Amino acid sequence: MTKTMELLEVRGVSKHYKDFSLDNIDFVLPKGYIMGYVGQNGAGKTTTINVITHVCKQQKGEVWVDGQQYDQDPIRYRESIGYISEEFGFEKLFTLKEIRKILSDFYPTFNQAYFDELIMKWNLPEKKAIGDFSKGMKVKLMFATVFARETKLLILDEATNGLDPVVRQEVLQLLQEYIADGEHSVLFSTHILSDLEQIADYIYFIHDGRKVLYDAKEELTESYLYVKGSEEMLTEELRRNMIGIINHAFGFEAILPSSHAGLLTKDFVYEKPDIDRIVIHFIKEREGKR
Amino acid sequence: MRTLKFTKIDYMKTRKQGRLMIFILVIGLCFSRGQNNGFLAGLVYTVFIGSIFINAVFADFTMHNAGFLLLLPGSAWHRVCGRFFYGIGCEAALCTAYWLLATLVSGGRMLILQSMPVCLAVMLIGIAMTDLQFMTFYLVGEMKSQYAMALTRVAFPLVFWIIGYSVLNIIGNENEAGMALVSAYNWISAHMVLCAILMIGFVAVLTLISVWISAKVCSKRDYA
Repeated sequence: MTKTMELLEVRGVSKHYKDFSLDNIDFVLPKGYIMGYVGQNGAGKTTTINVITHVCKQQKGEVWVDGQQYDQDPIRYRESIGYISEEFGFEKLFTLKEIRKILSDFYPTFNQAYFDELIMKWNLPEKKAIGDFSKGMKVKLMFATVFARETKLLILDEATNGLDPVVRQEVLQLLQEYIADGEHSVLFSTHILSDLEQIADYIYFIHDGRKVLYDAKEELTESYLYVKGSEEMLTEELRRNMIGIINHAFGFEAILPSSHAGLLTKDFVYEKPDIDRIVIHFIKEREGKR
Repeated sequence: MRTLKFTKIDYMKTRKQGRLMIFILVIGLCFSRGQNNGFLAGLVYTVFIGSIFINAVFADFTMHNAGFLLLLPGSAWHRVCGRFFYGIGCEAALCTAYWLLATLVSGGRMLILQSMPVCLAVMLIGIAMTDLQFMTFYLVGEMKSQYAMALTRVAFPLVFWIIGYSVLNIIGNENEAGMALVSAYNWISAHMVLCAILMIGFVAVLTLISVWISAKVCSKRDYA
């Protein structure tokens, strides 16, 4: 059976390690959209991505990329995915010459001219061993290897962390161009939530291997208010409904579902939150419940 | 064809070590001088040292430098078969190169055809050893235990060396073991074609079983 409506489907995926479990992860990413996959260190983002790329095998659940599961056609499955990470690297003795040979051998759609253009643009040295590249250079090389061939799904795992601001902006622009034809999608796992503010359409927030939030970005930011005020102003009802209250010298700040906006008086300061704020307060809420 | 692409990657990874093979051959030839059964002694030594370098393709396998290769389009079968082709190819090339060089250096004293059966036998034993060694690497797990991997890297070549050296010491002795070895050698010489077919057949079956087990293990394991 093949499914073609969504580019990426993750259905009920669970993966258990001795001291960590990924539990029932479920989401879809339609064609032509970017999903931000966010969470703290150790939340399960990379484990999820490793299951999607089939580097790790899940104990339960299914993953479909462009209507295919890995076991149906491992070659087409892997060809459809472009993966970029600062942790997943190259053989350190290789130079760009070897990378070109491997890409030409394995990917029929590899465009060497465009690859060379990106290499020159980002000043990547031809004769240097990749093991001697800086972190940023390795990530740029990964971007070049992925953009220079046809893929359906880009997966970025903390990929923009090591990039300078100019290149990061360039890459974000390339990502938006990548999805522009409506046939490609991006799964973007990052701590730099300001990048997601710019380009993400959906947000999946994972914590301790479980889903916390999953919705369109606009829906999420419309569903909550970022509230500030003095502690004395907090009624019992407000305290019950606030999420992740953080107290400091000048008062408190928290997230409140928009549906309870009626509880706020004019003494409170409130505004539409950004993704950063939502994530911070949800994490704070979870930590408070431990 | 995809399998051979993975084999090519292994050759690319170890190309610098490939240059060391020339020195190994030269040292093997030097070792053969002044030894009883010099050709065999040098060949055993060359295969022993060469095997340690051949299995270097399993060394230093971490996510940080192997991730790109793990994500290349191909199944576990392609990767494993490619790796075995690499190992078998290196053993065969090493033995063939030694055989040709030794014949050249001997100035024609050692007839090519005379030394070929010995070379083929040692090469097949070397390939069998490579099969078992590679299968052990896959069973241990490239990223599970670097200590176990390091032990495996030297254990198999060492066993090969001990057996080879023991045989060399037994040859020419007039004790029971030496006489038994001479009888065996005479029988093999009289049935050379049959022995070659049996040996090639055995190594082929061993290779297939090793590849099958290794690929099965890899297809179930994470980061493999």
